[in-house]
Amino acid sequence: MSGRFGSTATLLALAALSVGSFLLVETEAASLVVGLAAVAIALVKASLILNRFMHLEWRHRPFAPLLLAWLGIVGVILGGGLCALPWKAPTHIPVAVNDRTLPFEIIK
Amino acid sequence: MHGQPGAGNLRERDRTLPGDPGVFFFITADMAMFAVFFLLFMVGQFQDPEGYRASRAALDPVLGLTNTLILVFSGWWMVRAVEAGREGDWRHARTRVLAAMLFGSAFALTKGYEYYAKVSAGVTLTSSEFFGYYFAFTGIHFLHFVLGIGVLAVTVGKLAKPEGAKTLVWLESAAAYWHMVDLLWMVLFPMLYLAGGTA
Amino acid sequence: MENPYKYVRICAWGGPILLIVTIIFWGILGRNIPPYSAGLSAAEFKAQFAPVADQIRVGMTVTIACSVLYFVWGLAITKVMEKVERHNNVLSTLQLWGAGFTTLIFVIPCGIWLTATFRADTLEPGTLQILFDLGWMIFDLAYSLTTLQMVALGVCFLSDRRQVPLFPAWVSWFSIWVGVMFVIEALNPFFKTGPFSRSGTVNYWLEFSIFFLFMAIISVYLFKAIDRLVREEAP
Repeated sequence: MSGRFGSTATLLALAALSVGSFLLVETEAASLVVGLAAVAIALVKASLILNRFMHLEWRHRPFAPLLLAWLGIVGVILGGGLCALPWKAPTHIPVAVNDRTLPFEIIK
Repeated sequence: MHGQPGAGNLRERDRTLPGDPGVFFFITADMAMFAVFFLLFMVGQFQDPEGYRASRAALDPVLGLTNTLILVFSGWWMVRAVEAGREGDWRHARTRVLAAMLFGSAFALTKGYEYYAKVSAGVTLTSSEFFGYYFAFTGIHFLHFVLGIGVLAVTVGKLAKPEGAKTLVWLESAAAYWHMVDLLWMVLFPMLYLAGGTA
Repeated sequence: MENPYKYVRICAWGGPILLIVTIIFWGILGRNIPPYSAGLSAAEFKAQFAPVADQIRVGMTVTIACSVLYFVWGLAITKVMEKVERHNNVLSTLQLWGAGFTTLIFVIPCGIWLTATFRADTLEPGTLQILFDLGWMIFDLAYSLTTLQMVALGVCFLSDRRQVPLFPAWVSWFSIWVGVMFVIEALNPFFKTGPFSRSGTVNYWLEFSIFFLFMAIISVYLFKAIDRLVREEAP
């Protein structure tokens, strides 16, 4: 199983991912892609905690499958919730074509 | 000491799980409750995206990030405490749980400061729907954190007089609970502070 | 022949009976599924409450009378807990007192709601509403009395040293979890609408579902435990 290096590497990965998602949101304009990236990073962190910190493995039934399902459900809730929001178009995407303003909502 | 199936009153079939199955039942139920909270929040955000964005702009993500790092660091001490416990090295296990408690307690300081700053700026849980959820969810999470600190304190006591496999199961269970507090924050942080945009 | 479990099984029936009474008389007749929202104006509340006051009066009259069954049920649980306790009877006593106080959390609010129905047609809307609010504040905010019962019960059965414990570990943990989850009721006074209000998704639907589930699950395992103790101690 994971020795000392394993848990320390996990710690560093968790810290880097946390700072990474923070910087991503701070430096990029708010957009769906950035939001989904933050959620994806959160799910990766959560699965690292389950597997590398709690030492849960697939054979630990029913809890490992249940908590894995939890991750999936939470991913759908957060990801779906973000997709359903109206987002302003990022500035580099042309906002007007042939004098007609595009509905920003469908650009995502 | 470690890896002795059937020692004491332990039921053999449970030994493979890193902790007491009842504690994992508790953790699973708790996390299910939080999944409902996440759903409520996302539905509310869908109904009032601009209101949520305006409220989110008043949050300080640096404090959220600080708390994330505090919990992760504290969780790592707990992992290392379990590693020591599995080797039968109870002395190191004990000091590492103490370290997890000590570093974890910083979460209370940051959270306390954050609540204080919000309330003194006139932002309370009745200010907006977003802040209602913010205070409710982080408050319930904080309650779990406080319970966790209590559990770690009891664990430190038990590690002073270790009783073999029984103490290891307690240590692993306490660690699993502590990691859940950590894990829930990993989702609360992006949901409340980061994703969804600000206005 | 002596039977140490004489009356215990009868007492244990108090739980399931009260559960059914609560659903029918407090819930359905008492119009509490879900309760009137705290977000209603006083006039709106009176317009909805006064026409059904007679029906609610019947519901509360029966519920208040049956509330004592919660304490009776708690005594049956305590009798089983005493078989698990080794050092002293602190946990079984706490459980019994918790159940006894929870009885009052049925009795007092039901009495207040009963009072609201008594002169529902002549009372000022604001007065009527405040009586209804008062009942709910006590009913929801005195959760710690029930949490006491749930945690004492869970901790006690977790310390059972039998090869197969009288209550399975998950039941004990479920009990503790419900007790901890009740703390969310503390958010009640801060919200008139939304999931944490008294009629909301979390503070009503979720909390009351897990409370009723607690009564049902504990009752099932209580009967099993009594049967087993009777068998084990048979001469």
